[in-house]
Amino acid sequence: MAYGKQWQTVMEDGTVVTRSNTWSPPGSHPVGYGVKVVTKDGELIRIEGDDDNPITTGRVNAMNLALREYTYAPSRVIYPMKRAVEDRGLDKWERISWDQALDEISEKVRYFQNTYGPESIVCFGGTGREACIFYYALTFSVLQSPNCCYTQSGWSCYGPRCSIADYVLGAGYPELDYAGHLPGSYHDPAYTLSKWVVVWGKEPLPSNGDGFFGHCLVDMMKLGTKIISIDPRITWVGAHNGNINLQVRPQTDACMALGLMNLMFQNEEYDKEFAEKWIFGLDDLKARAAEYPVEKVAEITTVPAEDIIRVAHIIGTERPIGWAWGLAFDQNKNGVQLSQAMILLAALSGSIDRPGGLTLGPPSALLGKWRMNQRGAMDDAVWQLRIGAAAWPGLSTGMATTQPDETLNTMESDEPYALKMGWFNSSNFLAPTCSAQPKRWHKALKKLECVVIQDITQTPTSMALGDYFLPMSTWAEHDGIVLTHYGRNTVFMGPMNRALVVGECKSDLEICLMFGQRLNPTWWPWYKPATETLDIAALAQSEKPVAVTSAEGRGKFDYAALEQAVWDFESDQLKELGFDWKSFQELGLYQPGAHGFEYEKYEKGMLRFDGDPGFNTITGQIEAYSILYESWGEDPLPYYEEPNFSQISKPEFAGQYPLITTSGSRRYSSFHSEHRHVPSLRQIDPWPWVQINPETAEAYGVTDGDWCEVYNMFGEARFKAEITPIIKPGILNCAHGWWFPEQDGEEPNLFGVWKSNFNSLVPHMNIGKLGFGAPYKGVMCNLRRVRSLDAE
Amino acid sequence: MTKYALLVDYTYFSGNHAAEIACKEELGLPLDQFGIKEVEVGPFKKGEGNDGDAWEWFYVPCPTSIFSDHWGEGGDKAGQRPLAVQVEESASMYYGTLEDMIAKMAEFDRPMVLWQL
Repeated sequence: MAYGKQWQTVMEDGTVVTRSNTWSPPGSHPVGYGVKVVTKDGELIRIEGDDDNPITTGRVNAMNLALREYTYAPSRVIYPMKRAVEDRGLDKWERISWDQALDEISEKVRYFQNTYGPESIVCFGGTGREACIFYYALTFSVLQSPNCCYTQSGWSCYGPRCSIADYVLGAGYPELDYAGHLPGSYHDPAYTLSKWVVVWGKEPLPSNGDGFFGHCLVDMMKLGTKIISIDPRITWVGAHNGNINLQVRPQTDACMALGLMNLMFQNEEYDKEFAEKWIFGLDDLKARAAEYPVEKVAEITTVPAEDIIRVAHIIGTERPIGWAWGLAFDQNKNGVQLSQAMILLAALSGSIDRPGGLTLGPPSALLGKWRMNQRGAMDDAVWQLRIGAAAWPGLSTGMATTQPDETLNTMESDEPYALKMGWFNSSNFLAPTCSAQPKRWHKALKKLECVVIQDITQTPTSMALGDYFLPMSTWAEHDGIVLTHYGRNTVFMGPMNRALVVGECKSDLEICLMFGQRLNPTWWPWYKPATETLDIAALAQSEKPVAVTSAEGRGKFDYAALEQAVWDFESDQLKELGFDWKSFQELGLYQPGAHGFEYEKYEKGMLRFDGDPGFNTITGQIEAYSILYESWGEDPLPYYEEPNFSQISKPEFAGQYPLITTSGSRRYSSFHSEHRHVPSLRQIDPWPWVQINPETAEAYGVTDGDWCEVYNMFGEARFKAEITPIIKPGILNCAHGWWFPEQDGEEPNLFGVWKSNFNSLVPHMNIGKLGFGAPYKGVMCNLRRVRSLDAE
Repeated sequence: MTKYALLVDYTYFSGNHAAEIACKEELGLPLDQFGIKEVEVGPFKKGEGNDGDAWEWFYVPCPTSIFSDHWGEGGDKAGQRPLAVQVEESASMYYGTLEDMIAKMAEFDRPMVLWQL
C-alpha cells in the first residue's frame, strides 16, 4: 500500500503538492475523496486525484474539481463583515477585523445569556458539511444553549435513519459493505462481493449521501453485482442489463417493504437461524406482514405483482444482499416504519454486519462521541429547556437538537420563551434546502435581535438576516479530519491538510476554538493566544457564564496559537486510536479493517456497552416489536400509512391537484443550494428543472424547456420542463436548492429565492408520531405553463 | 509518430461531468470551450417490462479537437495521463497508445468506444 507517502511535496519549480481528503466547504458529505492540491506561490492551481487512495483511487467529483473557481469567486466573502441591524436586507456590509468580531459577538452572547438565559440563543446548522460535527459543539459548549436546530420539517435527513437504527437495531448507522473499511478493498480476503444490492430511495452516484462514495456501485457492478432499484424514477444505475426496477408511487415504500417481507415469510425464504436468534417479535411481525398480500401491495405501490414476487425471492434466497437506503426514508411521514421495516428485511436476508451486506458502526465513535459529549457543558435545568424535547421524546432521545417544526412554532409565538439571537452555521435555509414553508421562517427569523452568519458567500439567508458574517475556509484551506457518516459508522477517515490560505477565512473548528476561548474556556482550553490574561481557573469555578468584557480579559487574535490549537484539539480526539495529529497526517488514511475491525459484532459482544453479545437495544435483539416506539405511543410494529396529501387521502382536492411531485434528488453540479455561482458547474445545470413524463406533458401542452409553475394549496415554484420517460405519468420530480446569485440580492428579491422555491409546496408540521418525517418527496400538486421565470 | 487513443467503457461511464471540468482546469480553457464533452443517449424504453434490459441510457465522453491537439500524436502532452482520465468517477476512461488501447479493448466482452486522437 503506497498511501502513507509524505503529505506535502515541494517541486523544483516551486509548485507545492499537498495530499488531502476532501470534505467541506464547499458543501459536500464526508466522502473524503483522496486528492492532491496543487498550489504555487500560495495560489490554488488545480485539484488532482490521489491514485493511492484505496477507495476513490484517483477519482474526484466535478464540484471538487471546480474548487479553484469556488475559491476565487468574486462573490466569496473572505473577511469578517458587519451590517447594522436596520440595514438587514440591504447590501451594506462593512469589513471588520476578527478581533472586533470576537469582541462584539462575545459581548452580545453574554448579554443574551445573562438577560434572557442561554436558551434564548438558537444555532441553525446546515446538512452534510463539516459543520455537522461542530454546530453541536458551537451550540452546547460555546454558546451554552440547548437549542441546536436543523430546520428541516420532521428532521427529514439522515437523523431519522440514525435514530431508528439506534432504537430498533441498537447499532450505529448501517451502511452497504463496499469494502471501504478494508485495506484490500474488494479483493480483501475478508470481503465477499454483494450478489445483489437493493438501492432504495437513493441515487448515490451524484449525492454520495452521508459520505458513502456512490460510485462504488459502479465498481461493484463491473465486478458482477446486480442492482434492485426501488425508486419512483428509473435511475441510470437501474437502467443496466440484469438489474430490476420497482418503480413505486412516491411515499408508498413502507407498503412495499411489508409486502416483500410477507412473501418471504409465506414462502419461508429468509434467514431463519438469524431471525429466530436475533429478531424480537418475529411472530408479531409475521402477523403484521400478512396484512400486506402482494395484490394489495401492487395496487398501492403501482408496481406489478410479478416484479415484487421476483424481488422477494431474490432477497430471500441469494447471498450476500447489500442494502443502500436513502433520503426517501427520512422525507416521508411514514418513514419511521419504513426504516424499521428495511432493517428487518436486511435481517431476514442475512445481511446484518456480514461481508457484502451491511456494516454496522459502534454506538458512537471518535468525533461523533465528542460532539455528543458537549451537551455536558450545560446543567440539566438548561438542557430541559430544549425546544420540543419534552413533547417529542421519540425524536429528542435519538437527536440532540430541537424538534424543527416546534422551533418555528416557538419563533412565531414566543412560547414557551422568545428566541433572541441566532447563529447560522453554514445553512441557507430560506433557499429550498431544508425548511418547509420558508416564507414563514423568513418572517419569524426577522424578530431575532442579533444574527451571526458563518458561510462562504452571501446567500438569500445571510442577506435577509445577518448582522455579522464570519467567512469560512474551504477544506483545502484548513486542517481537520474527514470521517464518513460523522462517526456513526466510520468506514474510513483521513486528514484534511491545509494547502493554502485565502483572506481571513476560518474553519468551523477554528471559529469554535476562538469563541470557545472567550466564552467557555473550561470546555475550550486549546486556543491560547499569546496576550491572553484570562483566569481560566476562576472561570471554571464560576457557576454562571462570566462576562468577559474587560479589555485585559481579551486575547488578541493569534494566528500561530490558533494553528497549534487545531493540532492539539485533533491530537486529543485521535488519542483513543493511538495517533496524534502529525502521525495521523503521515498515515494519510485510517481504515478500521487494518486496526481490528470485525464483522458480526453482535456475536462477539462488540455492540453493547455491557460487553454481552447482542444488539444495543432494550431486548438485546433487533426489535420488530419496538419497546421504545410503544412507550412513545407509536405502533411497535411497522405499518403503512397513505401519504396525507395524495389523491387517495384527499379526494376532495384530487381534481384541483391531480399530480404528485417528489423532490430533493441531487445532480453532479451542486450540493443543495451551493455552487450556483460557480460558472463551470452552473453551465451543467443552468436552470431549475421539473421532470415530467411525456404523456403528462402532452396533456398539459408542455414541451421540453418550457417554463412551468408547479403549485398546490401551500405554495408555488417555477421550473423548466425536462420531459423524460424515467418518471411515470402523473408524477413530477422538482429540483430543490435553487436561488439566483446573479440577481439582485437585496430585499425583497433576495437573489430570486422565492421564485423556484420548492419547499413552499411542503406543509409545516405534517410529520410522524415520533416527530420525524415530512413529505418533501411526495405532495399533491398541479402544473401550468408560464412564459418565463418571472412573466405569466 | 505514435498514435494515441481514448477508450471508453460506455456501459459504465456514468455521465458525472468530472472529465469535463478536469479538462477545463488542466488545459486552462474558457467556460465555453471543452476538452471533453459528454453526450447523453436516452433514456428511452426499448423492451417490455421495467427491468434494466428494457431501458437504453448511456453517456459518451467526446474528446474535442482541443483534447486531441494536446493528448494526441505529437501533442504537447502526448503520452502523459490526462487529468480527465484520472478523476472520472466511474473509472471507465482509458488513455494510451492506439496499439495499447486496441489490446485493452479486446479484454472487454461488451461494446466499447475507441477514439483515435
